[in-house]
Amino acid sequence: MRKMETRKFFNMKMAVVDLTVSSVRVTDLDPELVSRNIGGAAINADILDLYESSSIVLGTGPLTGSFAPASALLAATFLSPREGGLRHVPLLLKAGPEMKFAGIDFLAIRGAAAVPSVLHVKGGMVRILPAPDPVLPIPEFLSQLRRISPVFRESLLAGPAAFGGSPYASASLGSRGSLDKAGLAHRMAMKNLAGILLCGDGGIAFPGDHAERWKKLFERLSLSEFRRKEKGFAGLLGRMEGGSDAAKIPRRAAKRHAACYHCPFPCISHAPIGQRDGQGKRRSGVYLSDPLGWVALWDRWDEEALVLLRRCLDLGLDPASVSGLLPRGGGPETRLRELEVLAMKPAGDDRKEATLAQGRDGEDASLLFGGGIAPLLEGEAWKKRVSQAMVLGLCPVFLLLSPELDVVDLLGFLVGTDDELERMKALLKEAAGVA
Amino acid sequence: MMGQETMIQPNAGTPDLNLEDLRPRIQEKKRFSDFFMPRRSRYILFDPDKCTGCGTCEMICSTRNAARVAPASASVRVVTDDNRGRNLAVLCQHCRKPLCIEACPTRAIEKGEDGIVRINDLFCVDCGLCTLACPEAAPLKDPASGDIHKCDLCEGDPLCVRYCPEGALTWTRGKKIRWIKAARWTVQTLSFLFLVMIVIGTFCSFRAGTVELSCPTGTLQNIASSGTLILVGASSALALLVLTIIFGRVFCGWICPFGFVLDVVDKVTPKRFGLPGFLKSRMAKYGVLAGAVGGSAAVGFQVFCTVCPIGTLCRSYGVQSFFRSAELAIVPVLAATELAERRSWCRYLCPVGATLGLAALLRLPKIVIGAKKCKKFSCIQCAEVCPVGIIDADQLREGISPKIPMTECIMCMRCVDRCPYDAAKIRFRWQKATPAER
Repeated sequence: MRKMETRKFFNMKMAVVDLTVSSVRVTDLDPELVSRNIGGAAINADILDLYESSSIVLGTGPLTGSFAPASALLAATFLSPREGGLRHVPLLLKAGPEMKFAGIDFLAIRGAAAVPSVLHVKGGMVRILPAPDPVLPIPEFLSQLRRISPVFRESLLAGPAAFGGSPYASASLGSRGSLDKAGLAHRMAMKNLAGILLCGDGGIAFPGDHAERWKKLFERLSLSEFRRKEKGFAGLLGRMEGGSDAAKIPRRAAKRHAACYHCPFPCISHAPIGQRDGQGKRRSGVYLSDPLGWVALWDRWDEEALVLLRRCLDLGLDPASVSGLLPRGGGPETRLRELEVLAMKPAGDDRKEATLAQGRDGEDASLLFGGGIAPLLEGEAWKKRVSQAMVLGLCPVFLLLSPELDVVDLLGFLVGTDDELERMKALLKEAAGVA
Repeated sequence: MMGQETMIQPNAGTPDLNLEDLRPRIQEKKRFSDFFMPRRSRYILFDPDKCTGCGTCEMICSTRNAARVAPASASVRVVTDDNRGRNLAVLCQHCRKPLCIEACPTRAIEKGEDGIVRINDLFCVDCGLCTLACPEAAPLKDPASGDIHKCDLCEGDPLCVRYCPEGALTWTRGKKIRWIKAARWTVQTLSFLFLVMIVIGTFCSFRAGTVELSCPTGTLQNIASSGTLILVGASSALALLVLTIIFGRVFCGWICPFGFVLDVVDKVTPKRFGLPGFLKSRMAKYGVLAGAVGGSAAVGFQVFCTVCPIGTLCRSYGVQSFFRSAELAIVPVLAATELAERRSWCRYLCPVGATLGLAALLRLPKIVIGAKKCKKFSCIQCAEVCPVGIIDADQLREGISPKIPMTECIMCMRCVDRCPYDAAKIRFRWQKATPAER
């Protein structure tokens, strides 16, 4: 068994929360686990084996929060609520760094709370707090959460659809949605867990020379096709098979791009929607970050897709699942109302609904990684890049968008010598297999 | 030993020390060249159009503040408006007149000669009053250590600028060449030479061939004093009024020879005293205008024209006007008001400005400042450069676009020229939009 010393990239702390008895235990992370499996989804899978099948494990990678590009990942590992398959959902934006800087590397959530609860992760501690009404639309729910904890910097929410029992629920990072199409929200709701609030007040002393390493790497990435040609969500869609047509609206409407933590490839865009005010400006908008969800909405609803997407995000619904269930007849208002019905509708026996529901098993390998990562590469290449990202703690979409980037470039942020590099490559191959 | 006992007075012989003695304020040293070419310190310019909110600035800043990657300990913070998809970097603007310095009870904050506002950790008690005083809340409390951090521009080489992947942060001294400023000074100089030294006659009423131009205020007095309306004079006075309707009060900002004198005087005189309150009414100039017209009607000649600084300048040059040059005494007397406020004469007393101000009620252009576009509440450079003081700095600090009274605006366009965020714009009066957030 090859072992590597990567513990300096972690706090080496793990929290185990038992919602049934409202207990929190923060323990030292087993160094053997880190040496063997590197981090992220690979360690998550090991931890999940220790607890009952209904548990959820959230984990960071060694590079999460570091100077490595797109070091944003928080991997959520659980068994599919419907059919029991292993799932790793990548949670991006600032979720990974915030959890690591909050002093916890891995968080195992067991049991189910008696009342809707939220977890507050801060300063190496986890607190269990009573949640506001979990069926509130996500923006209102977030406002209520701010009253409980005004200082959290990132949040993972189950959303009202999950608490309404909808099989189409998707977890949301803040109000921006996520790539969860595997039932994470449903699993959270089963635990009466309305959300996890992350407040990264601390930090990690990553090696200082890594800043210059990042600078040099960025100079290379600046020449990449994504940065040179078209950034933003439209750029992402343009590189996805069958996504070029769907890029039409984002290209026209989205004026601002956003990126996850320390990511040089901004693949999220914001499109304003709603009525214009007296100054001709729209005061509301929607983040476009889920390519598969967007393509599904755009295919059927064209210009209406932006409004439907906003409503899906507010209700915590997966747009890819519900797009095909909306009625053709009637106007936009009818479809918006139908979304509310779908958000509160428990899973039924309908076969069509079952195939669209979250947490289903399938032949598609992407379901293993949450079902929401864009197919930017083919087959094994896709799987290899994604599993590497999920172990190292990087954004898988970034790795897919930069095929010219060798994994050695990223491992250079972990190890120094050539010998260590070779060993780390072999170890990563094993760990990716575990994930 | 009883006889040797002395009474000790607790405070006997000790002077009354106060904070000023212990930590005297650093006075800004002015050089002679500052009057002509003020020093411009470099600052960080943030472009919200480019910012993706990736937080690289926070992480790199924290490595300097806390020797580790800890974004919460950074001196810059990226905040995101999810509804509008806009990111905003909150960082110290190193204001010209920092409010944090005023608020600090221990005088721990100082502005150096290099323009950088720094916190002296020896004296800082982490009370956080600077954060409350700062319009941007730029001094940030480190949640881990409780210390107050504030951007010190990395002593002249900001890491956030160097590492920002999108180039949203720029290290700049502002616009290299201010074209409007250059054009205005050129036009003002040429106008001064033209009206004072070349044109034969006076600005009040001069004739060049068949062209006759009259000052509208002079014309009003003429009509009042003579009781007759001379169409040629009235129509030529209209030319200036039409110019004002089309371009605003550009005469005051770009052409007026006395305005030029005041601007030159302003460059070389420090502001030593304030005007008494009763003089500081912008309505006073309308009273002067009414008095000039009424007085002319009463006495039968143009009373104000005899002391008008513009007319005095225009008619006191050349051989034939040599003996009139004693009138020029009025010019330094009125120019002395520059010791109090910039363009005090124009703000409060000038009846010509009052006449043009009335015409400006019908003007086509207006100047708008979109506070939400700049969102740098402590910048307020537009308010500082405005010579007639009509831009409300307090409103800007609250993030409100100030309403600019165009009857008072002299269209010098200093605000447009100075604004580093392109938030000050010229618009037609019927255009409602201010430069909104990007």
